Amino acid sequence: MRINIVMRYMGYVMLLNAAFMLVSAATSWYFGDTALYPLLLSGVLTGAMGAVPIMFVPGGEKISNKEGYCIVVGSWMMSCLVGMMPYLLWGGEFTLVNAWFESVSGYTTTGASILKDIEAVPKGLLFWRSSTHWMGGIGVVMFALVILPSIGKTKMTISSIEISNLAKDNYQYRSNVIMHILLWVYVSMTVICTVLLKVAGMNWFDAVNHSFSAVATGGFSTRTASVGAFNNGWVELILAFFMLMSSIHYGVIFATITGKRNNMFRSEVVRYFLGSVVVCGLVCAISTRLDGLYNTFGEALRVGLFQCASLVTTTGFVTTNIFTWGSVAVMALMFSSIQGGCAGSTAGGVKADRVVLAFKVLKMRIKQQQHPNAVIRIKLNGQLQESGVVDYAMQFVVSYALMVAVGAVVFALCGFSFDGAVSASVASLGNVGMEVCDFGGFSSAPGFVRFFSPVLMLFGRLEIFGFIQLFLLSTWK
Amino acid sequence: MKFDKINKLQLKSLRGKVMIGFLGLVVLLIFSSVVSLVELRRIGSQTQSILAESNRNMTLASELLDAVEDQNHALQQMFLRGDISYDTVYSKRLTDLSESLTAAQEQQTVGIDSVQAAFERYTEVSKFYRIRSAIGDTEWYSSDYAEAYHTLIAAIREYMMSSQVALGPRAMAIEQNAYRAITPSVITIGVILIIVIMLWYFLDMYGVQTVVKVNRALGDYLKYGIRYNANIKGNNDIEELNSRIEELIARVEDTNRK
Repeated sequence: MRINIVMRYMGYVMLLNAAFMLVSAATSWYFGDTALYPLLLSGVLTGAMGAVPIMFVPGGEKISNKEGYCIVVGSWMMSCLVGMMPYLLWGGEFTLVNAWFESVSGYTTTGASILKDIEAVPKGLLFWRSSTHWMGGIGVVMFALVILPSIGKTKMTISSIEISNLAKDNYQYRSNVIMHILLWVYVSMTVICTVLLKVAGMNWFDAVNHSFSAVATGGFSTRTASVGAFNNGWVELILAFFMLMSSIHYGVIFATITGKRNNMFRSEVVRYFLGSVVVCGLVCAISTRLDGLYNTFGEALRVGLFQCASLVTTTGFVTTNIFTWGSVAVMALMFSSIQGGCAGSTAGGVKADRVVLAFKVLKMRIKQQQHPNAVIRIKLNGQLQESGVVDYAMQFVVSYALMVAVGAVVFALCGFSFDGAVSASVASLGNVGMEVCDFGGFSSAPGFVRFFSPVLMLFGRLEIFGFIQLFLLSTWK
Repeated sequence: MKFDKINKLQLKSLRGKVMIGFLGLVVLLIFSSVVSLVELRRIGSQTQSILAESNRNMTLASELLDAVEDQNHALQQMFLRGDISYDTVYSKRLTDLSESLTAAQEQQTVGIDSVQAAFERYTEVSKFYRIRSAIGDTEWYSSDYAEAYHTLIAAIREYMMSSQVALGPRAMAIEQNAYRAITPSVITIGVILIIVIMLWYFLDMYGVQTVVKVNRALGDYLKYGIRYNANIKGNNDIEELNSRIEELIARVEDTNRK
């Protein structure tokens, strides 16, 4: 493996990080807050680190699978590390472990925070937090790929690791167009969401930050009370819409906008995904209304649908205190957190595609028992699925369940209650960020939890197997 | 910007790359020192402002207390001895008190509002002090006046303490700034270490090793007549040197053939 080539590509990612740090510093300067120097220095240091390999290593080289993998994982790890700098330099609540937590939570679009009083944090630093979401949302490497015109093989090598494996299969476009489609959809959605939020009553700063969070399905807010602080139905509606859109395969969104045949209305997975949001939202609304938590069914439905959309998209925006909800509603929320969005989106979780496949496998198994000699194949979106794809999906579901269990055991050993430990594990691994059961929040959790939870976030973001490969590099041919 | 355009912009001179690399390190050091200095200066100005504010509050509070005490003393003299000459002392100290309060309000010091409220109540109660002292209304003095007087004294004492109470959060802010003054240096040193390691790695790979390769290939060609092939890639002047050597060898071989 050529480390120099890997370092060159990672250098571009560092430069991108530095650019966002400098934009955040400009924001800090505009608002006259105390994060100007920390952001400025972080930008300069990160830029210098990125510039060295670019200066020395000549470009234009084809990269291998292993190198592509190392670029992706290395970029994630390095971004998470350099992303800590502004927090560490600013200080406040950001100790070393807290900065690590906040940085990884940002880049993995988890959105969990250790901050107790978000309004006390300078606006420049809040913008940086949201920027980490935005960069993480599309995948730090995606940005680097857009500025790299190296063709075909390089891009697919990286995208096959970065995007979930199912996502790759769904694309109906040439590989060298994929990156441009992703960026086009991503930037367009961010701009439209920002403008709509501004029109709905937010100021520009809040609108940009919440738009970054919603489109990246992250969950960082500029308010301690999250979206609930705005108490604005239009804001909730806009955010819910963009969270849901961002959780649908970006290629499918592009196909829908451009009038292609394989649009979201014909997608079995999208129909299932949106249906699951409506069903879970209704369950929450009925449950909370029957418990007398809300005065009208309309209010319960508004809150229930928003919370379900927030959790199923693994965003984690909050408009109400869900810890007072009954167990039926909590179960619906937990299911949403575990399921997550569609493959090929910025959402985390198991992914709706795999859940649909799992249901189909169950159905197939029952049929197979009735007709042992029948050859039964599984179709998804009208296409026959290869056994390898189905097997991988099932292996992933099992691995995901195991990882949730491992995470829960570790959290339980750190003193969490059973439901708190499971909730913390799902929130971290699924990149949800928001806990369904109260465990006091990550801000008051022990230091080891704040170190371990980001590791789970990285596992989730790199789809478990992607992260495990990091430890098996030497045996990778 | 397209990748090939970036490649074209890339600096070719190895000397230039080394110079930029090390100049970059110097700039980073200077920049982090400037950030540390700015934060240190902020600590200095914050400490000065805390001390100045504390001193100002104490002085003002002392002036206010003196004025109220003098007024009370004057009133006592008028009540007990019927000495009307103290009326001028009372009036003068009332003016002093009012002026001190106005000065404190202009400086927007913390806790001055409660003193102002207590002072207004005090002036309202003691408005007809001349008549009260003339008729010897001790009941008024011991109940209404005494209550307003004690409230005012308590408010002034609280005001005196306010700067001390505010010291806690301000000391924390100073501690925060001290952290911000030290951390840049620590982090910059860490980053510089990483950059130095990278520079060493790339200089070794694209500088030292390439020269060794050229030397070995040239030696093999001269000694054993093995075809010169150093296979240098580096987008720098050693790669250029390599291609020139190849060209030179080709020319020499051409001349020999002729």
